Amino acid sequence: MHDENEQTTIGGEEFIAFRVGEQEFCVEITSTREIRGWSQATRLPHSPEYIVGVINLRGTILPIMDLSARLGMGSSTPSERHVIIVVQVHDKTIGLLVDSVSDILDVGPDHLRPVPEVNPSMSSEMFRRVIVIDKRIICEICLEAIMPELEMQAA
Amino acid sequence: MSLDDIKETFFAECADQMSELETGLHEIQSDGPDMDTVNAVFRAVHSIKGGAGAFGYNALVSFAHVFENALDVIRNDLSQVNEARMDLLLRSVDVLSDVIEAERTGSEPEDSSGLAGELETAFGLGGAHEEEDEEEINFAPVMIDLEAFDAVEAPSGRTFRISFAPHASLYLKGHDPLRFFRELGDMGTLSVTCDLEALPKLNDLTPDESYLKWQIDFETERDRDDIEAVFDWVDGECVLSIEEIGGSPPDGDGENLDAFLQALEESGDDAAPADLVDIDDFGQDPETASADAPAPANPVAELVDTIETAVGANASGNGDQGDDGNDNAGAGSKAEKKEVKKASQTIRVESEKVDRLINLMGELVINQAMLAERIGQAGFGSASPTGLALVELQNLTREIQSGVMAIRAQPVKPVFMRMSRVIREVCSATGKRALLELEGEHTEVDTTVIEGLIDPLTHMIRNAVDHGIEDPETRQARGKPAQGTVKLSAYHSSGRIVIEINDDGAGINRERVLSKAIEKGIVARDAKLSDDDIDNLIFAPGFSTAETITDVSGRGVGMDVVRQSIQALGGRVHIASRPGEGSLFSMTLPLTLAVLDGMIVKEAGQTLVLPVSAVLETATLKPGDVYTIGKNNRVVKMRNSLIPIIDVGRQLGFSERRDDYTRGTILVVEGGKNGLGAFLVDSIEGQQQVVIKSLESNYQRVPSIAAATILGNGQIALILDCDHIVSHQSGEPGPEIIQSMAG
Repeated sequence: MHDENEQTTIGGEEFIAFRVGEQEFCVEITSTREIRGWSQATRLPHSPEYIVGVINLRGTILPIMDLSARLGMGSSTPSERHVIIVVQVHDKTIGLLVDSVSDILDVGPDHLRPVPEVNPSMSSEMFRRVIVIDKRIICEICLEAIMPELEMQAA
Repeated sequence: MSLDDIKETFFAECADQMSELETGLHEIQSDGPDMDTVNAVFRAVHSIKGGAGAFGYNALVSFAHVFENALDVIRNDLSQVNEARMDLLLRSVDVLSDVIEAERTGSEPEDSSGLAGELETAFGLGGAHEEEDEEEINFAPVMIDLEAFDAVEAPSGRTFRISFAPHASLYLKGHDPLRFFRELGDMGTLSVTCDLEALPKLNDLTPDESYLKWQIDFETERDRDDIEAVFDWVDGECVLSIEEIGGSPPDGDGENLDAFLQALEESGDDAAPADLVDIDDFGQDPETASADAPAPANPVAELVDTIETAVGANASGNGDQGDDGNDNAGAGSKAEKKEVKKASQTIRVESEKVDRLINLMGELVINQAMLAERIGQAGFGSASPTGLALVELQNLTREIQSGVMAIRAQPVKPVFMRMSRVIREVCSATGKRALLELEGEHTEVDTTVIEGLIDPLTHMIRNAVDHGIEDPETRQARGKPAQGTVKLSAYHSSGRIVIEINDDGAGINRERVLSKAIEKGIVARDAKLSDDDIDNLIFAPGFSTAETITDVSGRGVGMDVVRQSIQALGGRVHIASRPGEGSLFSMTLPLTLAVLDGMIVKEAGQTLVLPVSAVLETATLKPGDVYTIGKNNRVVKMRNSLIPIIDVGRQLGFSERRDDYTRGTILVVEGGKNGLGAFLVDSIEGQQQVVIKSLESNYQRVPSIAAATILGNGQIALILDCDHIVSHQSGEPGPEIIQSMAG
């Protein structure tokens, strides 16, 4: 514990950690714009299943991505308890549908690890790094990689 | 402000001047020359030249200079205008705009010397204007006619007293009084006296202030214009007075008043501002101008008074435009013009700022709709004070909205003017002769619509000349004037703008169009088509009638692309043709792309919006109306035509196929190349203006969806892309295929 406090003072990176299913993930706090509750989304036709729809974020059309579905962990059924993390990737703003926000982490370089080689067909390219703190393993989402249009181009 | 900013301003101003120039020349071409127009045109070129000189754009300066001289010939004698010369001037406009563009982008300007030579020959230039050549010698190599130059050396005739008091700004901009004296020295004999009176003691001297004045006695055979031209580039940066004090005016100048009166006239009729007052923008009226001027020597001040009186008297008297300086009315009408110009001030605003305002306006409309809904839910009646206040607010919002939209609304004129160049280019490429006539060019429409119009219009105009207008011989053989006319007109009609292109060419060769369409498999061999149908075949994809691909129209873009771009703007295009008499293309477009008149419908639990402009009619189906063709294609028979039924919910993947078609409502929608579609929805909710929100800004293009909007309840509704839905209607395999395509 003493270790961690020291890292805080030497200015580690900050992350927002959240739960999707049984696992914990995180994104850099600098990409995060806001966190808001679930509101009914308008479905988009002809869209990948992980795009839940669009909501009105103060006049902007905000697409909502079901992170669970995006990571291949099965679609979630959005409810009042779900949370939307609004993130900015380049010039686009998108909402990530997650189960709950769990933590704000200040992590020093010691706790950041490269993504281990898992099944390549799995979503490992969607993660940037892995944070290991005590018994927790938190994957950092690579926002660029999960953006839908990039995937469209790749397909 | 960096130099780049200043340059940007210069080029923005150039664009204004160019449009002024082009407008003016067109006026001269259609209505004959009149002095005001010629002056305006001359001024435009002159300002471009002046600015270009300041930035050292040599190619631009030298061409503008020749252009200016050519115009000067007309300015001096309106009867010098003839068709060939006008044609040359119009071509010069094109070259000038090319040179400006080249200077702007920093690319190598095309060689304009050929046309410059033509101008010089056509207008007999060379000797008469060498004093201005001299003026430009700092910037560009220009021809100097030595013979004529020699002639100037011998001073004769007139003596002017010039008093010249530079403001500090003159020095700041890098001008040097010495240069002006030198230039004058080349035109005659001068004696310069420096007035040191204002010079303070060394203690009180501010180094960057201007204290010196000069008085120049100048003997020359040139006239006042030439002297003014020397000082032209320091307009507004000095107090300048030119006063003729002796000598006789040269012959043939058309002026037989005494020198003083002549001075008065010229003060008004020339583009150069009043002699004795602070030279400033033309918009400035003499009174303020003189008030601004730091009190000059006494006699000058007196003279100012005199001029004001004289100008005032003229203004109240004869309003006619006089010929070049032979009556005082010229001065009068000019003075009035100055007033008018001052009244219509414009400001330059970045379009982003206006866009932001429009976005916020959209928010306001949405919020107001929300408020109205809440107030309704809270049980306030429309007659209650709250309800009345809401109505008040709504009226206000509507007014603000139209005000904001009006900022973005621009007359279609710049685009129209561009087309005259297109016509000239096509004419010179094809050897045909055609004239562009404009009507309603002041009709206003949203800038985004204007931008989107340029390409389709260009293409249609090219087509009109290339395929429509016959060559001069054929035309004459048919008893038409050798020169064809393409009329471009714009007007407002029921909340939309209509743009028409009407040529008096051959019209559409229906036989050829039909055979071509059959050959290309666009229509069936035995199809029975009305004349109108055949005409509109030219918009079919893959159709191009030109037998040989010409330079002009054959750029791989067919009329279908034109149609598509018009449709992308939410518009429609239609052609009507009279064989032998010409064709009429008409386009109707929305006035803005920010707001849309939407038909709100419910389908499969979703609220959807269709552009009202696309909906032709609505109906409920009776059991006998629906026919099945093939396996699963349903059509509805309406007025003897069979229209495919499109189950919107299923098409979008929102719902399964419904069995009972009679329960919903159908909307007959015009969409794209495939013609009509009968959209089947659960119900129609109403019609309202919706603010268009892009899906692409945070997401990506979604097939079948044009955009989104936010409804009064804060929910997002999708705006359907009717063209896409009609043209991609799938007989059977629907959502699955699309799903796999997208995922």
